[in-house]
Amino acid sequence: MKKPLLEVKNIKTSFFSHLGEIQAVRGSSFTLNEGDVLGIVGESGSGKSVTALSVMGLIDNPGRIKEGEILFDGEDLVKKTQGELSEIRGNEISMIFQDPMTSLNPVYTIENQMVEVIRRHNGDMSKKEASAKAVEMLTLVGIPEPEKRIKSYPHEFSGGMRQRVMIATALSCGPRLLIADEPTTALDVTIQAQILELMNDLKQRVNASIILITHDLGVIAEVCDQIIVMYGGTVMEKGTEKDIFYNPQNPYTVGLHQSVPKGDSSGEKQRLVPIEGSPPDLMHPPRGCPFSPRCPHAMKVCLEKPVPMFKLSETHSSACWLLHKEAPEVESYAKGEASFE
Amino acid sequence: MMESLNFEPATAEEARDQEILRNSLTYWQDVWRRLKNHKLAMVGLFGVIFIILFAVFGPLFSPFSYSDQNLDFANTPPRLNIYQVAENPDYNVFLTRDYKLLHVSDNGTILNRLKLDDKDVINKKYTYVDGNKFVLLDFAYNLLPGMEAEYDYTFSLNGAPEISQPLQKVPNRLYPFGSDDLGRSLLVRVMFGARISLTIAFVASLVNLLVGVVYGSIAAYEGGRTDNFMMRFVDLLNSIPLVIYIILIMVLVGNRGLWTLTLALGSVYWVQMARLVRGQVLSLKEQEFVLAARALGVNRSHIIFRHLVPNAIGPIIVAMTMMIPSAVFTEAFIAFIGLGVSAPMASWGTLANDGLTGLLSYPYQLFFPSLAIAITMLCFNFLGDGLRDALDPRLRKG
Amino acid sequence: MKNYFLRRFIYSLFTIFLIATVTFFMMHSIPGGPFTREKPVPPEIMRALNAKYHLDDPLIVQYVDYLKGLVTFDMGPSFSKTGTSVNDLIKAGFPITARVGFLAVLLITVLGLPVGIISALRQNRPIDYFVMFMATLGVTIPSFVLATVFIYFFAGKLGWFPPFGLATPLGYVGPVIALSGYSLSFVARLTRSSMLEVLRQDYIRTARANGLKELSVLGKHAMKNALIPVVTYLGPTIAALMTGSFVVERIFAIPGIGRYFVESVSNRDYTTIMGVTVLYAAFYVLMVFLVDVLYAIIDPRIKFEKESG
Repeated sequence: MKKPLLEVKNIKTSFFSHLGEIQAVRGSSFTLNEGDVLGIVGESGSGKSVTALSVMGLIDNPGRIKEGEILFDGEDLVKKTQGELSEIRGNEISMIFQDPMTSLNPVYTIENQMVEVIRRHNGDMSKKEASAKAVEMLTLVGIPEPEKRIKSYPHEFSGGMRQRVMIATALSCGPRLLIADEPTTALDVTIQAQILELMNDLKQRVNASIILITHDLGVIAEVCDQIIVMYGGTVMEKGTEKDIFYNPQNPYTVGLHQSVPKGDSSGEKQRLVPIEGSPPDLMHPPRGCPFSPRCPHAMKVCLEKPVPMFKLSETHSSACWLLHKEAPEVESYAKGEASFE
Repeated sequence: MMESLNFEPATAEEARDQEILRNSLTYWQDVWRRLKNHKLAMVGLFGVIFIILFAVFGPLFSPFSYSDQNLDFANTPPRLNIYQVAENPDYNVFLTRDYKLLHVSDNGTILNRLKLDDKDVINKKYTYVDGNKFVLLDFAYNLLPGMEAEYDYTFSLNGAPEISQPLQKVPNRLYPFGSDDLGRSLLVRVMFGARISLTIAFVASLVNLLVGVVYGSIAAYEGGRTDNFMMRFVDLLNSIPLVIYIILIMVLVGNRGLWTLTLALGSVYWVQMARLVRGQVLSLKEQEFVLAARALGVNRSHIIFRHLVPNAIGPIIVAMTMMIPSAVFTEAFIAFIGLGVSAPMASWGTLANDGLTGLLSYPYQLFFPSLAIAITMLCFNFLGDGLRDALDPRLRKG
Repeated sequence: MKNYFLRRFIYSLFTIFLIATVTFFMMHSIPGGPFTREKPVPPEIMRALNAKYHLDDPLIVQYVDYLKGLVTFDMGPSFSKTGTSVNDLIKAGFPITARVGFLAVLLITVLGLPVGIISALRQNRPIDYFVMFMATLGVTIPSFVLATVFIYFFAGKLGWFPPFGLATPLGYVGPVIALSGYSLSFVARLTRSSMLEVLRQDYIRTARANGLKELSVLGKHAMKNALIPVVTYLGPTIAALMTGSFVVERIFAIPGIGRYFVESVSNRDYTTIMGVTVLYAAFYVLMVFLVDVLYAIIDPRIKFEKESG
């Protein structure tokens, strides 16, 4: 049995604008075990990035974590001050972001930025040692001629290279958890594959758990031990790769699969089915299941009652009223035991 | 689950009701909606409207024109400290700082000036005459050695006991903003000044707009060497202190008319606008709709002025709103150093310049034109800031 | 990088040359010579004056003489102040103008920048509202109003400062405030909005995500980026200070170069107008050049773009 590293319990994060409260995350829960890779999938506005930023304690004004616990190694991060969190960030938990073009400070050299982070968390290291460490990290992520390139400014690097620098920086203090928020979205397709390969490779070499956030099911399939599907600020379904890909038990997950080309070799013609409608307005979220207005199987209960998680197996659970014992049978949907996490 | 759950399929309508539909607005409706929510911008907008009405219609309600002089009533302040020298019938007088005695009605209308009959400089006693009334002014109290009093001067009518305390301060009805050193109504002059200042500012900004938009959009659309050459010229102009050049143009042309000033201002400040438009057009011209228009064989000027410029209209409007106050500002500067429109016309800058000479005695002569400039600047700035926020697509949320 | 600076420098010299040329021909195309007055001058005196100041030479000869003079920093005699050369006027006035201007720039930097930053960090709090209110007032009030209000209240009514002249150090207070008021407010506003813009950038989030201390996030990572637009504004600030000096020197009766310029404009003293214009332009162009250099030092992207382009 693996030890849980991160337990997120019923987190609710909102942003307060002058127009009203935007409930970006409306109660999401999950657990990440040590050494595992957790994938969070969802379209934009599903709350996946805000969940990650909540873990990092990087929710800026006018946002706030309203409720819930984030236990990292048993300690609740929500209760920590920004000062305490800054000791953890970049050290125990690191994060890399979507757009490498804008995520590095344009007016400082790579060396300057990496050395600052390394020395921040290793106070006794000299500048020289930190620089050597930075070069070592750049070598690890596959930057050619790192001793020379480290003196460059971010604009002298390509997007893919910058993302490698971001990864190198994030891993430089040996974090136990790495959060990657859409690390490949802003990159060219070929570069995407390289970065994913790099992350897959690093997963083995550095002993860190990873949270990989993406809207792309294809990205997640090969890397993740566990997958969470988010929609409208809530968790719709969670399970292993097998559960989510071969036995999806939520109409939203099924919709996601149908809207993505499979690219399988069977030669069979595949029709892409878009999900009709648009994501919910998080200022006025639906009372019941957030997907109900767009769901092909929507029932009256779906519109009115918040959905509990229905547990299907040790690894697999889904938030859908169809899984309720009394609900009408729908092809390929199983029945599960309701559990309120 | 103890409670009963309704597992009937939901109808399409019920599902749709769950989605709160955001009503779609056109671009300008959306801009207007956001501008309306911006309090300061609305203050600015109404201020601008008010200033324009003030300039256009204000002078119609005044008995004076901007050049009507009355030297007898020169340098009267906006509030008159009147002394009642007789009761039943009341007789009120007001003494100007240059020892002119004016007969003022109870409510503050200046009626006539009393003739100075006798000037006893040694004893500091002046006698004024109005028909059969003689007013004696004694201002020796604090000027002669050994004398100290709570008051500076006294009046007495036809030998009656001296009046040393003013009756009250009343607003000057004839000249609400006071009068200048030639006895012209400052209110009317400020209103006419608004016409001049605003005309110069609007027309100069319009010239800037036209030249800037045409220049900038052509440079950007043509690209390559044309663009390079045109922008080198702009760079050159940009590295010159432009106010000095306006001054040189004014010196060169010699005549200080309204249009000279307008053209001088209009001829140099388009540089900024040209740069802005060029930047906008450069980013727009790569977009598909331009490509589509070109593929359809639409001609160049049509693409530039029908497709590109309208899409860059937001930033152009903001720049324009900001350009007007800066033109008012620059005009005021130029007028202030003596190169403004020639008398008897006057812009706010010339009025302020005129007011400077008597600053310590008649501060209101500088105060009102300055206030007018400051309020105009403030309103346009508020409006411009609000427009920028309202037009900024980055802030636009679905 | 050296190439870039050298090119910019040559370009600046060329600009000054162009300005001098344009000014020369503008001044010489004014109908009537510098000695045209309301009262007609006797023709023989006119001829003698023209001969004395070489105004009867062909225009091109005058132009060459003028350029020669410029290169050797000789601006010729003043037309309205007999016996004084334009050089004398500049020597007398420039140090005074420069001193007031320097103090104004100092005030703008030591007050404008911190105030703008504090305002940004305390966005939508009382201090921010207060600073923005003052700064908005500052950019809407022309310097002559500020100067006269200062004289009226602080010098006249309260008597804290001398109303005119620079005889005592206190005399500098009014001119410096009046001169810097607009730019100070502008710089504070610009710094604030630039800082707010930078704080929204991804790299600031990265810096926080890497656990950097708030002091470093703001003081190192945000600050340098926020300063870039402020530095760009330094050129126009200097221009604003220059035009401000015309007005402020006149009101406070300061014998600086701005006052000579305004006087020469009303006296039609063409040599002084030309001399001072060229001096101002040269100074401005030099400042723009220095700002470019500073800009390239702060923002590494500039060199790259310019050199490859």
